[in-house]
Amino acid sequence: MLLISLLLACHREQPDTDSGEPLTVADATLRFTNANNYQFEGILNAPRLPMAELTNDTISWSALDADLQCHDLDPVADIDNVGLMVFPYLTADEVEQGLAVDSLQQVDMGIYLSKEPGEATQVTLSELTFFGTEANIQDEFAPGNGTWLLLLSTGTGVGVGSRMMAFVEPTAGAPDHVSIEDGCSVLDYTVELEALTPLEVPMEGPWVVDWSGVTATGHGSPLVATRVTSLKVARFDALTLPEIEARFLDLETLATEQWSLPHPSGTVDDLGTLTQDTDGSPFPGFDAEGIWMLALMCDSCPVPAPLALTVLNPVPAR
Amino acid sequence: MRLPALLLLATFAGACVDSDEKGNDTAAGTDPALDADATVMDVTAELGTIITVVIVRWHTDEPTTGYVEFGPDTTYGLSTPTTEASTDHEVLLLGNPADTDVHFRVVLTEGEESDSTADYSITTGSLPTGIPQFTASGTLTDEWAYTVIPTQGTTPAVTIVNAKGETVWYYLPVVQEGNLMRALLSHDRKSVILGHAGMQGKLELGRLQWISLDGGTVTELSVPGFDHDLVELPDGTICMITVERRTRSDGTPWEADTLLELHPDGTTTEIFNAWEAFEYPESLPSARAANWTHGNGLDYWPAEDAYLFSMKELGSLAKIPRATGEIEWMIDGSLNQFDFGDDELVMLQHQFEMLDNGNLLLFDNGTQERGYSRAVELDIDEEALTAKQVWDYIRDPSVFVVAKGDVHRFANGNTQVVWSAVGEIQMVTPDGTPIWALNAELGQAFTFVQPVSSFYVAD
Repeated sequence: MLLISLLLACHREQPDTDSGEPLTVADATLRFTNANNYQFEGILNAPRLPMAELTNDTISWSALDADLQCHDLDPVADIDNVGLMVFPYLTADEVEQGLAVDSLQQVDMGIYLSKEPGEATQVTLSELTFFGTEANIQDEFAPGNGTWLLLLSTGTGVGVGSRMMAFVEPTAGAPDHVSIEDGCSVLDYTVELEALTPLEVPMEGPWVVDWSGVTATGHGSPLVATRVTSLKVARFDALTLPEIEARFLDLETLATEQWSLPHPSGTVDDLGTLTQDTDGSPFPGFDAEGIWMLALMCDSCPVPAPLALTVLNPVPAR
Repeated sequence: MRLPALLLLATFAGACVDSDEKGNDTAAGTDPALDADATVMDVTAELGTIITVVIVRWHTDEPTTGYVEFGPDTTYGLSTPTTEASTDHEVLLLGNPADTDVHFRVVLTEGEESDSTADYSITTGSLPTGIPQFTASGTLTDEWAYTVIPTQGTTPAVTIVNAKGETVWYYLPVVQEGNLMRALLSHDRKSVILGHAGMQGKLELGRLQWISLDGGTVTELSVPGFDHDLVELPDGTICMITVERRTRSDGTPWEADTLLELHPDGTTTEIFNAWEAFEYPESLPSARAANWTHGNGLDYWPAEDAYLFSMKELGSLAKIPRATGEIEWMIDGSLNQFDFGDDELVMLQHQFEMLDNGNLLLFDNGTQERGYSRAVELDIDEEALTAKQVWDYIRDPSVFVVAKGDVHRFANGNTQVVWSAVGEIQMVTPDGTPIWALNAELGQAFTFVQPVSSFYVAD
């Protein structure tokens, strides 16, 4: 789960290469395959919040100070979008499982409504619209009308950048105002980095990497190349793999240095075009210090974990 | 006609071609038959800005006409229109999936005679990041080949997909404070027309775009007030739903719809104006402060030279002949004039089309209270003002589509039903059996779609 905050910072720019031509695969190309890929299993346990049925209920997040990764959260500055997904034929458990492995389709979700709250920290059901079209969804908020999942997100993409989620359950006699608070218990996970085969990389380059051999994401769904928005390389000093596994949700703070490159298309990228995330300086190359990782990132996917990630093994030039 | 020991200078532009890395020989052809007078020189191929589009150019030493046959192998199967008589020729090979070998040959024509060059091949590029992915299931037989699909949600985009769900054309527009509502492959088959609407209350941000099919040219026109839908007539005239804002006695703004024609010469004609057509608001069930008609669907009825125009706030669909701009009749909703007998009234339609047999096919969204949407076909009598349901289709399990929705009938009787907001397109047989479906990933909804049978000839 390399850096949800960095996911949101990714840009969709064309590569700034000299030629602008697509990269080709040569003998020296690094080949990132399924054997090199990590495994990630996310387990969602979103709270179930009873709320008055057939009522224009109010949902508040003013007391939310930690997101589902247990990172600090500002309920005003960090929440750009409130989304309400209604799944007519799935249970809450099935929704959680589908989100965790990124297997849900749009047709699973009967209705998606949203509102950009601005400075507000609460929303009523009637304020939620379908891309601006009024829905009066409170009239349908009743038992038997599906599973209702509320998403609080940074950014406005549908199902993207989720910082907190909760199921609201229409219930007779329940209060007409609910508060969403601590997100720390929502997401649990296991990650496997030690079982993968590290990918050898020459310290001095070249670093053209062909990842067409990665056919499945770390969480088990088919890897779709057009969902990869950037590649990221990070170095971790003074940490072991088990320590990184244990604190996987904090990778952005654990990394000593990180470099990124936008991914325009295809399955071949040149790590020589990486730039440092903080100051934009060119990638200086690999060394034998620390632990190096390469991740394929997606800034429009519901699962915040990297689509693929491997440990790199820098080796001297032959 | 002579195609001599041909100067097949296949200078394939390498910028977008990955044939080398795949080991293909891009100039693999041998000399063609040599019994004509013209010499084909400098056959080149390169990928367009849209990397599924191949641009083929060739030169002849004397004016000729010609076309290109192309396809996934040397049996080809597709061909471009014939070029005008000239020495320099350029055609687009359209309908190719990404990362696919495209074989082609140039065919010179002279009367009934023709001669072709050897085979060439080029590989299309990889789809850019962000292009929505769809999952197709089932098999299509003789329905139209392609569907133009605008999506809204995680990634607003226009894609044209084939029956396998493969993207063969795409464009990622910049959408600002609004929605991409409509995309149409133009009648002249030179561009895809995009209709962008602002959010309700900000409709002054409306605009149209024309994207050339190779992706190299984008032309834009600001159309304040554009909303929901547009239709292109065979002569290139575009009719749009636009809103006109007026000020109430208390100083607050409110809006109602007009139908505005944009002619190929750039002039415009207002065909219909709801402010003039209705006595507002007392006679209407809704007097919303925003758009009290809220046009949500538009179609053109060639046989009658009339528009069919749906207005959400009225729930009604109006027939408006172009010659008069007057409402001839209204069906469904609060201003329904038709006798439905014992049949279920259409509750709230989005898209619709008049069928060749005079029946009306609609996407009936229904209401949240009813809980499901459907496709429905009505046998309407315009003289007697009667409507009888002759067919309907409800998805199993049913879905309620809160916004948009579209329907199309094909010559074999099958119907394409677009469950827009839930990201699914189905093809169903007359007996209601779904035989094909296209599904969007979570976060992507469809708006209105356009089935097309060819990239080269208007339907």
